[in-house]
Amino acid sequence: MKMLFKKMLRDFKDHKAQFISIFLMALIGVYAFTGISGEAVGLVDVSTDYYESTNLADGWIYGEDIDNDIFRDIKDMEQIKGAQREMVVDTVANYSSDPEITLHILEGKQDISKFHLFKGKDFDEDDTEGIWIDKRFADGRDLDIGDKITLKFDGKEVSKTVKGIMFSPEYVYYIQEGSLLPDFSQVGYAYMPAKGADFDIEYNTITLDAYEELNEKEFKSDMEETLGQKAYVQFLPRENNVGIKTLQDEISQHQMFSGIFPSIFVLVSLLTLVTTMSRVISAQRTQIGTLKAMGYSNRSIILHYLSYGFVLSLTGSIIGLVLGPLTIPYLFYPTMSATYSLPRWGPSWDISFFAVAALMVIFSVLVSYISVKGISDENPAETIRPKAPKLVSSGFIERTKIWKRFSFNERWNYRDAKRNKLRAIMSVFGVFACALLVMSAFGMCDSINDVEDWQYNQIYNFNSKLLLDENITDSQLDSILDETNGEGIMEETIELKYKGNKKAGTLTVMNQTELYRVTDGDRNYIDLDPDGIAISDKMAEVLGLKIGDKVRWHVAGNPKWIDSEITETYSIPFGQGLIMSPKVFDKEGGDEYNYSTNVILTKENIKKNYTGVNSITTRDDIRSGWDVMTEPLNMMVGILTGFAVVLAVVVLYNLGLLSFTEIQRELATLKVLGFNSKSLRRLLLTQNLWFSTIGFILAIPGTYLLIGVMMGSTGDDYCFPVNIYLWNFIVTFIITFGLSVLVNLAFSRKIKKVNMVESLKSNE
Amino acid sequence: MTTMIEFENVSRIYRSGDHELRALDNLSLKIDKGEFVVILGPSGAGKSTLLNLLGGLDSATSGKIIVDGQNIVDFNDDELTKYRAKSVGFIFQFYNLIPNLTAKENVELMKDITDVDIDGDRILESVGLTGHGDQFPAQLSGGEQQRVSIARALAKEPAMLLCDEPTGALDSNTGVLILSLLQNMCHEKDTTVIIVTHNSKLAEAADKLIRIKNGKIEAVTINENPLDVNLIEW
Repeated sequence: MKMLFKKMLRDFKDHKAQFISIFLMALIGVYAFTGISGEAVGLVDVSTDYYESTNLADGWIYGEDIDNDIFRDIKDMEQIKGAQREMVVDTVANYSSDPEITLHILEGKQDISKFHLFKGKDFDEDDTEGIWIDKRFADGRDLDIGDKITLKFDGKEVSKTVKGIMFSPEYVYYIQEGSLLPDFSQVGYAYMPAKGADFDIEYNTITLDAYEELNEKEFKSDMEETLGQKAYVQFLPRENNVGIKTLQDEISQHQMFSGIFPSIFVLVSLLTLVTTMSRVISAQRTQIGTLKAMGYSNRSIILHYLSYGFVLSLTGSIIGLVLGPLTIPYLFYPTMSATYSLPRWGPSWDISFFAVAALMVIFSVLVSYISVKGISDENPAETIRPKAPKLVSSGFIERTKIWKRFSFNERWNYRDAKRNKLRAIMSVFGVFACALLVMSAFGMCDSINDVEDWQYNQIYNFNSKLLLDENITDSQLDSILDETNGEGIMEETIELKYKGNKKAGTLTVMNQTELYRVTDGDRNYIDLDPDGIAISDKMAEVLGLKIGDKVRWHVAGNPKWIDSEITETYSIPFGQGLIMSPKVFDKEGGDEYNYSTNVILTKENIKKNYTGVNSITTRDDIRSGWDVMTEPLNMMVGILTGFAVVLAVVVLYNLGLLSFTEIQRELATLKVLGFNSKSLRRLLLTQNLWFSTIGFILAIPGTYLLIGVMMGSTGDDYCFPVNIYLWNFIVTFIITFGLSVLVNLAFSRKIKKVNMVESLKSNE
Repeated sequence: MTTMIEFENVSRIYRSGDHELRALDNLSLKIDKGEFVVILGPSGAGKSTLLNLLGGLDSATSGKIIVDGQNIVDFNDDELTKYRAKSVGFIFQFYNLIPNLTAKENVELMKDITDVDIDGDRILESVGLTGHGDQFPAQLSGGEQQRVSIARALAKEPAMLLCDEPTGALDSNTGVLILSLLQNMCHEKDTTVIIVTHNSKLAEAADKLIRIKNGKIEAVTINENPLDVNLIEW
């Protein structure tokens, strides 16, 4: 056995490239899988752990002036384990450019949605001087324990000392009004005990801790029953919290990526590994025969060859398993943390990682076993001789006239591919997977950029969007409209209902304007009927309704439901919902709803602040926010492209090497006959190019399919059509074929080194 | 007769580490155009090395090998490739046919490297393989395969045929057929044929017999009346 071990080490040395590629295949497959999945799994683990350790609320009840009576009723509901009362107000902190701080004035102890303390002391209900502020704002404004902070709201003022710096699970994602991306020096949140307030507290929020997950519908009706006519309150289950939902959507998207793409990597590496392993063993055929002839038992021969696959795939898998999650996820964290706030960022290992690693090892051992067993079961007298070449008969193509026109190069390659079908299929598959990954990665980018262009260049034709204060006077409104040359519209969050399907959406009430023009699904502008009610096609699809159906809707904060008949549809990437004219809105809304402008759109770039305007967002702000938001996606695209290229190089090189080894003798003969190295290289290149072409062509429909699935996973709120540009095909084509040629060049030295004298020896 | 090939003090030394093997040791010889040459010698004498050097598969360590007035030792890779393509026809012990190509395609393969117009069927006919053109090497017997290999070598009409143990893998009857074919080619087409073998019986058929031992010429015999291969008692 000791000699056989020596033999193994020497074999590794002598066939370096092949064994390295087996090792690399296991390594890359596992590395890519665990790296990309490790990020998604890590996000799930970290957020779940965060929510659990802080006892994040299972839901919230919002209402005006929640008195003791209501609070007690809620607390006594059977689903409720505990409840906490808060007054939540939007305040402005005493710093430059008026940062927005959401202040939670908390009654009693903090048992639900406790914060994750970063520094200082825990929440103390009796500390009347203290305030706890969030870590991101503290960083953004360079605040520390002991610093004073003053918050203003509704003519009141709170001046407190920072006692702790923390993260709250209710704030994994939050932004300042009217922007896409948080600027943590401009937005934040703070907690203080009710005992510290020197004004009358009107509680407006109840934080709920339930025994089991709260079913929105059931709990709502129970709650309405409990409270009767006492109060109008709203219930928000945990999963509908904007921040938590946004993070959840992001995680889902990452999971989607980490489900599909790395699986392709694993599949390709697995297949290549298996092909290589079986070839390596077939190449040892005569040695196996010789070992047998010398008297080694089948068992020790099989064990010897099993150890090849085992040692290589095991080391590769283990390294990949450890390294993957320790490297790739960290590429995402900087961009993720620009948008989301978690107390820590870190990867996790999932049981599936070990399964993938095990799969690599098991498959390579299994294939080794099958290959060796096949050979060792033969009579050693046969085995010590090389296997008789497979007979190929002339097929259909050979009998046609075209065949006569084929050059030697084409004939040889055609037959070679025919004789080595497995290798041919593997090569095609390798190229297919590489092209698919590169094209899909680019295609994702394209589609997303396309959506950006659609929304922000085609539909939005304004440069500034002014959100108005509720209390703005008509004369203020008129003068702003006049001064900005703007157009007034009304935007509301609404809830839509159709046959049991319920969905939140946006209601836009406006007259036909150049500043905001919707399109159809093919991005052609359409003029909406001023007397009609239009629904976005994505919303119609989600609700399952069509033109002529009646949708029920109500504006958030107003319980009055309206039934409206849909007369047309439009397409928009973001902000699915309804569009109607003020005239129609007033008619449909009856007594309950009246049109009032709350948003002004204008072509001008507004820098100045008007009284009566809450916030101004420019299109540039939105676009740059968008860029940062899509950064994790671009990162993913980069990583995937990188892996795809590495994978393609290894697969092509590996398969090239296999075929090279197998035809080395033929090459030597051809060389003796007078073929020069260049034409021999062309011989090998022809096959590569054929396989690349087939793989590339197959990848095109594959890409449409894959991106369709990926874009579909972005959720009900977005309408992301698949759009792949020509340049994508061209770049992918260049990458794929470039790699083919590159790998081929790597063989040119080997071809030069083919020893012609070898060809004169017996065929081994 | 004109001298076609001349070896002048040719040595081929293989070095590995401190070890030195003189496969050819200061060897000189002359071969005329159209000669049927047999090179005899025990294993390891340097026969194959001689043939490989002449065929441009290997380079001499020192000395000159003049073929048609040119010293091929000075050739670079490209020139050697051209030389092999144009001047040399190789016959291998194990035929070395391209398994992917049919018999005819193996012969017509030569179209890719020479300007000679090749009619595969006719050449196969000349080696007695009429009707086997569409068969793959694996479907042919050893003798048939060797005939395809000869046909392939002849297709480009080379100045010399170099045969390394051409009958080594064949039974004696088939071997005689092959050798007779080679002898006929030599005499009919004035092609120089050089056969390396350790079968001394073939000596009687040679125009020139060269015996090699330890990398040196042991003896050169000229047969005034070489026997027809078919008349030799094997």
